[in-house]
Amino acid sequence: MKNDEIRGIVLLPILVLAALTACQGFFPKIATEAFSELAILDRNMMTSDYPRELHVNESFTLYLYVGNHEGRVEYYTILVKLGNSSDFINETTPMNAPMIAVYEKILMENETWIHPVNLSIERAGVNLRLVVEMWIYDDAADDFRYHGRWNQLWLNVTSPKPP
Amino acid sequence: MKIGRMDEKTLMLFILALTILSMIAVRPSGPSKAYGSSVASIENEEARGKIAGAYKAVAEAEEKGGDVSSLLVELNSIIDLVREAESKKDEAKMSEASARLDEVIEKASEIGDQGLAAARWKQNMTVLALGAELSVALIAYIYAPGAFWRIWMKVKGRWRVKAVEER
Repeated sequence: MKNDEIRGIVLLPILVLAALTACQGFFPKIATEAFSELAILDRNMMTSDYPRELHVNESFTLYLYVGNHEGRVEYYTILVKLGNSSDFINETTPMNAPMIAVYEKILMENETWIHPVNLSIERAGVNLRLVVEMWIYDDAADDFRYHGRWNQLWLNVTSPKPP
Repeated sequence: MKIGRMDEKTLMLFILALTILSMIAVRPSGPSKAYGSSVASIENEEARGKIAGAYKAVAEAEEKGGDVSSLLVELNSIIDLVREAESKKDEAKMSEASARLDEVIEKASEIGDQGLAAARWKQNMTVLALGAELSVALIAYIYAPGAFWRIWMKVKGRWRVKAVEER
């Protein structure tokens, strides 16, 4: 065995350790894709038993699920709107429909929030859309900005139950 | 095959045009430009402004490396308090929320400074650890072969070399 081979065998683990130390010390945060999560869960916190047929003013429970993976603290506002099948919404345009509830929450990076929501619909209609939109506070604009995340439930709401 | 070569060229151009068109079509759209303070659940403008200010202070403290988890719990509870004060038109609760928001802003600045100090300490420790590791590497480079042969001699120095008899 030559001296250089001995040096190589001994130095390799030390240099690997030094490289790891430098990486962890100077580049602690590895850049990953930033995103936020938004979901509607049913009354059992699942995704299988959503209400479809309701009576006017009949209360029902859903859960909002919000997750922050933006790489920083974020200030969220979640809007619940009631629209029709013809109302437009996409990733850049929020729905122009009446708001029926608003929720605000500030979340840390990698924090999730599950919040119960008790709602009731005050008007009858077929194919109504219960839309949940995510808005985020924009520091630069000093205002909330539509974040392009939205979910919806299709509802048929019939006249109130007879007493 | 002149016509064949022309067809190939046209096909290549067609594929290139299609690729460019599809890239334009699927390029990610920029951030939404839909803004609106009307989306906030809090109508009191002073309280809303103060909450936004506290949020910015907390976000800045977090960027500096501070642990803001306790401040966020407090801030979320203040938002609930402001909403409650607004719905009940309770001035006492509103002023309590305002005082707590001032505290959050004050603490955020302290926590931000602590974060900066911790980051500086961590960087110093990294430099120290790197220095130690590189020193060990240098020492190993100089003395490792000598040490290896000394150990080898200790372990195998008394061994006798014997020729293997040929069969």
